[in-house]
Amino acid sequence: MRAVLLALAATFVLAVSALAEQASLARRYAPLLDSAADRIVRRAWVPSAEQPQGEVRLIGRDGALVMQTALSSKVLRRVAAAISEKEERSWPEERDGFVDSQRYRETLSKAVEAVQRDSRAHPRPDRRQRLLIEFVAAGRSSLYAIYLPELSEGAEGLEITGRKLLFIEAASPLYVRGNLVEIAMDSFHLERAEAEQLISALAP
Amino acid sequence: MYWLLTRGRFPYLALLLMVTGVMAYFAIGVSTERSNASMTAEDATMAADYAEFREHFGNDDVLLLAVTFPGPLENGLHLLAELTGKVEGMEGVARVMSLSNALQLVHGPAGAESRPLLPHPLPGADSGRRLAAALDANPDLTGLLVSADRRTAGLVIEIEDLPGDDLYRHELIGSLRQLAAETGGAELHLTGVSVQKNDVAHFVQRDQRVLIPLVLLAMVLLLTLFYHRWSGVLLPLAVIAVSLTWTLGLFALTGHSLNTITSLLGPVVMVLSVSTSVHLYSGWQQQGSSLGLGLSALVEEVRPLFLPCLYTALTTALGLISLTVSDIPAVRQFGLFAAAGVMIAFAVSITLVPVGLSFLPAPVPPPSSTGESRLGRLLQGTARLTVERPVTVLAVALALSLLAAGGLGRIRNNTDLVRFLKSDAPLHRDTLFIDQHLGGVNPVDFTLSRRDGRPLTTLEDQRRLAAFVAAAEEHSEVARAFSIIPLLTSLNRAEFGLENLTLPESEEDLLYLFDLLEAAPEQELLRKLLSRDLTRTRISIGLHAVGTAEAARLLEALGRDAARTLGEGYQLVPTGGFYQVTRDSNRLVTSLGKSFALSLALVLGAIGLLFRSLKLTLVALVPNLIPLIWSGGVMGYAGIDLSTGTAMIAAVVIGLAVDDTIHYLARYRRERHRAPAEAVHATTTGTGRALVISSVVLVLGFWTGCFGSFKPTVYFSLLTGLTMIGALINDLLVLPACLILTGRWLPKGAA
Repeated sequence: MRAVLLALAATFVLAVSALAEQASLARRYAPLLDSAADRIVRRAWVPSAEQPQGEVRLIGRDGALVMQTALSSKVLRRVAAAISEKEERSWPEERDGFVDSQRYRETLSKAVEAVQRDSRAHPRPDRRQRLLIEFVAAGRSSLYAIYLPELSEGAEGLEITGRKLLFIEAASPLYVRGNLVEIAMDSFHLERAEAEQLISALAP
Repeated sequence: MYWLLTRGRFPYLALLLMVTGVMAYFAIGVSTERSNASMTAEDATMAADYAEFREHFGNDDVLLLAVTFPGPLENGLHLLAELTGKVEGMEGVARVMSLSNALQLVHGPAGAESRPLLPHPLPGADSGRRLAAALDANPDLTGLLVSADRRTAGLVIEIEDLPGDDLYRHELIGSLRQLAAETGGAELHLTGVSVQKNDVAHFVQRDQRVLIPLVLLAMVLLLTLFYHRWSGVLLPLAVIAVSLTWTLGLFALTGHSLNTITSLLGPVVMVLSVSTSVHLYSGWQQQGSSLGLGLSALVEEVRPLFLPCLYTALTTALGLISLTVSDIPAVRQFGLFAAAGVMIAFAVSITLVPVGLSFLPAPVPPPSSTGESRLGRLLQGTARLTVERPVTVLAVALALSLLAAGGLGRIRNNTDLVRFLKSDAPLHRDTLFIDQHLGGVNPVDFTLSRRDGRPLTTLEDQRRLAAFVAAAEEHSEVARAFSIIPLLTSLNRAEFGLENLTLPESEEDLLYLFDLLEAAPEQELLRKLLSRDLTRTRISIGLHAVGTAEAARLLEALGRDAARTLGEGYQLVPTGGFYQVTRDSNRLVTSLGKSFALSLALVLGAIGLLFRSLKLTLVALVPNLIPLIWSGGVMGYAGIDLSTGTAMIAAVVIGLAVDDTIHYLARYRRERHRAPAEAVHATTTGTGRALVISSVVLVLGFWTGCFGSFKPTVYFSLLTGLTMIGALINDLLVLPACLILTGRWLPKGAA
C-alpha cells in the first residue's frame, strides 16, 4: 500500500514538474511563439493539393524562422505515423540530432493522443482532427512547439484562428535547422541544395 | 428509248463511265469501323448512364492476358514479372496488374500498410510456399490474377483513353499478340472488348477482300453456264460493277464505315443487281429472233418487262427499306444503302443492257427454248403437276408449313459476340480459354447509389451491398463479382490486426476505413470502385462467356436479387457494352416484327397497285409467306438463334421472294386470253427459265456469304438462299396451283 502511494506521489510530482517545466519554457520562449507578425514566405499543401492532410508554411517571425505544419486530417494518427517514419529515416542513430528526433517523435505521439482525446470529447461534423507543429530557429534558441489549433480553410490555404499550446521543447539548433531543411525538401519538393539555400537565406 | 439506243448511246456510256469513275474513287476509300458503335442501338438513357459511369469510375477498357505455365506457377514468376514490365512499357497502356506487382494490405505498427504481394526480388527456394500463403490470404485475387488451379496467371491491362485515335488499340493488340508469339515456355491468351472490336474490324476487311471476288466468280460461272455467250456474262457483270461502285461510293461519300452488317452490302448489292439484267437478257434471247433484229425489237422487248422489273426492284428495295425502323444503326445503314443499290441496279440495267444489246447481232435462241433441256423438261413437269393436281400441291405445302411452324417456337433471341466468330478465330479460342481458367470475360457493370443521395458509408449500406454481391455470385453464369467489399474487409483486417476478412462492427470503424481510403495514395485504383464523393460505388459482375439469352435471364434474376437485398432505398443502374448488347438482343423481336410488318405492307401495297386486284394480291401472299415459315422452321430445328444478322432475313426476303411472283403474275396476265390451265402452263414454261436462272444466281450469290467470318452473316446468307429456293418452289408450284383453284372466281380483267 505504501509502495502504491509512493508511486502515485512520484507520478504526481513528475507530472507537476513537467507542467511547470512546460510553463517555464513557454514563458521563456514567448516572443518566439508570438505569431502576431508572421510573414508566410512559402506554403504548400501536404502531401498533395489533391489529397490535403495539412499545410506546411515557411514563416518569417520577428527574429526567427519557423517551419509550421498545420494538420487537418481525418486520419491524424496515420499522418503522425508517416511524419515519425520520415523522422526516423532523416535522423538515423548515427546522425547528430538523433536524440532530439527521438524525443520529438515521443512528444508528437503524446500530442496526437491529446488531440484524439479532445476529438472524442468534442466530435466535429467534418471528422477532421487538427494539430499544429512549429519548428522555430532563432539564433542560439531552437525549439519546437505543438498546439491544438483552431483552423479554417481560407482562399490561399489554412488559416489559424486559435491555438492552445500542448507541448514545447527546446532542441539543438542542428536538429531544428536540419529539420527545416528536411521538411522544405519534402513539402516544397526541393533538392537538398535548394532547400539549404532557402533556409540559409532566411535564417536569422 | 429510241434516242438512247441511237444517238444517245455514246453520251450515255461516257456519262456512265465518268460517274462510275468518280464513285469508284470514293468506293475504294471506304473505311472500316473500329469502334463497333453502330452495332448497338442509340439509347439516350443508356448513353447517359454510361457517361455517368465513366465520369465517376473512369475508363473501363481493359484487356485480359492469360499466361499459362507448363509447371507450377512459382517457377514462372520471373517470366510473369518480365511480361508485366514489357506490357507496362507498351504504348497505349495505362496500367498493368499482375501477381508480380499486386499489392496486399497487411497489419503494421501504424495499422494497415500496403505492401507488395510478392517480395522483390522474387523469392527463390520457398517461393511456392510464399506464393500460396499470399494467395490464401487474399482470396479475391483468385479468378482475376490467378486461376483456381494456380497454373494460369492473369494480366489485367488497362488501356489509355485516347478519344479520336482509332489506331493505338489496334497497334497495342498487335504488340501483345507479337509478345505472345515470342514468349517461349508459356502459353498466352488475349481477350477484351477492344480485342473484339479490333478482330471484328479485321474480319470485316477480310470479308470484303474474299466475298466480293467470290460473288463475282459465282456470277461469271452461273451466267456462262446459263447463257453460253460472252454478252450474257459481260452485260450483267457491267451492271453489277456499276451498281456496286455507285452504292459503295455513296456509302463512303455520306461518311459511313463498314461494320459487321454493312460488310454484306457489297456482296448483297452484287447479287441483287443481276435480276433485272437476267430478265432483260433472257427476254432478248427468247423474243429477239421472233421480233427480228433492230431497235424496234429491242424496245418491244424492254417495254413489257419494264413494269415488272420496276416493281420487282421496288419491292426488293421496300423490303430492305423496312430495315430502317431497326434500333441498330448498322441494320438501318444496310437497309438504306442496299435499297439504294437495288434501285441503282434497276436504273442501270434498264438502260445499259438495251444499249449493250443494241451493239449485238441477232440472238441465237437458247438451248432451253427447244423444250428438250433438263430445265425445260422440269418446267413442263412442274406445269403439268400444278394443272393436274393443284389440291395435292397445296396440301403438301400446307403440311410442310405446319411442320415448320413447330420449329418457330424454338427460335430464341441470342447474341453471342464471341461465338459469332468461328471456333478457330484467335478471339474465340482465347476468350473461351480465359473464361475457363480465369473467368468473367463478359463484364456487366452496375452503379449503386442511395436514393437519398447520401454517401454509402454506413454499415447498413455495406451489409446490403455484400448481400447483393453474395447473391450475384450464387448464379452459375457469374464467374466473379467485384465491389468495394473485399477492399473494406482487407483494410479492416489489416488496420485492426484481425484474423478474418469481415466488415467492421461499428459505424465509427467503418467511417475510419473510408477516411483511410480517402487519404490513401492509390486514389486512381480506388476511383475504379468508389466515386470521389462516396455516393456511388461500382459493382462489376464478370459473366462467363454466355450469350445474351442467358445474360438476359441472369439480369432479370439480378434485378430480383437487388430488390430483395438492397431494397427500395437504393438505385442499381446497369451499364456497359455487354449490357447494351443484351438489351438490344431482347429488342430484336420487336424490331423484327416492326420491319417485317412494314416490309409486308409495302410489298403488298406495291403488288396491289400493280395488279389492282385484292384477290390476286392475296394469292401472291401465299407463295411468299410459306418460304418464310419454312426458313423459320429450319432455324428453330437447327438451333440457329435470332441475332442481328438473322433478324434481317424475313424483311429482306419478302421483298426478294415476291419478285418471282410479280414476274410470274405479269406473264400470266399476258396469257389471260387462254384458259387458266393453259395460261398457267404457258407462264410456267415461258417465264420459268428466267425465274430459275435469277433465283439460282441469287441463291448462289447469297451462299457465297457462307465464306464470311461471322456466323450471323453466314446464317443470313445461308437462310436467305434457302428461303429463295423455297420462294422459287412456291412460285412454280403453289402460286400456279392457287391460280388454277381460284381461276374460276377471278374476273378475267383482274388477271
